[in-house]
Amino acid sequence: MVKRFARDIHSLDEVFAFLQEFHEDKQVGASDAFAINLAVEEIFTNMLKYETGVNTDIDIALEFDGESATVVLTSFDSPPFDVTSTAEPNINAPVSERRPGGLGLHLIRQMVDRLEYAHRDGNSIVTIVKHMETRHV
Amino acid sequence: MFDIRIADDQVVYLSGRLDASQSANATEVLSTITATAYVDFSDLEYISSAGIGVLLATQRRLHDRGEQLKLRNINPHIRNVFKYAGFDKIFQID
Repeated sequence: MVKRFARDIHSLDEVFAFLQEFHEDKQVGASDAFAINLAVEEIFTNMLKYETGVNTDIDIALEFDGESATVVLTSFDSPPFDVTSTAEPNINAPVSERRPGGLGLHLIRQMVDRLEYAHRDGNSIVTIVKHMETRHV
Repeated sequence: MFDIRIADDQVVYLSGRLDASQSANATEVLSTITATAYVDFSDLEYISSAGIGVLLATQRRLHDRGEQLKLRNINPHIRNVFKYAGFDKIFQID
C-alpha cells in the first residue's frame, strides 16, 4: 500500500486513517499498531519541521511480510538532512531541567526494531521496521 | 479526534488522539491550569511526543509554583510511552 500526503500537519488525520486500513487488513495487534502509528507521526512531523523550504508531498508505503511491518516515508526533492539523528534526551533529569527535544526519536527507538535514513535521487527516505509481537487474529 | 476539557471538579479530561496537530489546542487549555490538578486519560487512545511535550512544559511551569499535574487512568500503551519518556520520575501516575 502506498499513499501520497500533502506536506501539512493537518494531513495527520489522513495518515492515521491510512495506517488504520493497513492494521485492519493485516490484523496488526493494538500494541504494534500504536508503535507504528507513533513512529510514522514522529518522522512525518520531523520532515515538516526540519525540511525547511520544501513544499513537495510525502509518500508513505506500507508492507507486511508475515512477521514484520515495513514503513517507508519518502520526502521528495528534499536536501540531505537526517531527520532520524538527534541527541538522546536525558529522561532522568529533574523536571526543571527536562526539555522536550529529541523525545520523539527516543520513543521510536524504544518501540520499533529498525529506523534508517537514506538520501537517494534527491529524496529523503526513512525506513521503519516493526516485528509483530501480536496479531489480532 | 481530540478533545480536552476541564470539568467542574478541576480535573482535566483528555479524549481521542493527542497528536502534533492537536498540541496547540492542548497547550491552550493546559496553560489555564495554575494549581495542582489531575489529568484523566480514561478516554485518550494515543499520545505522541508533541502531547508529551505539552504535559512536560506544563509540569515544569507548575513545578516552579510548587504545584503539579497528576496523571491517572492511563491505558497500557500510553503508560509504556510515559515509561520510555521517564515520566514516572517527574509525575505522580496513579
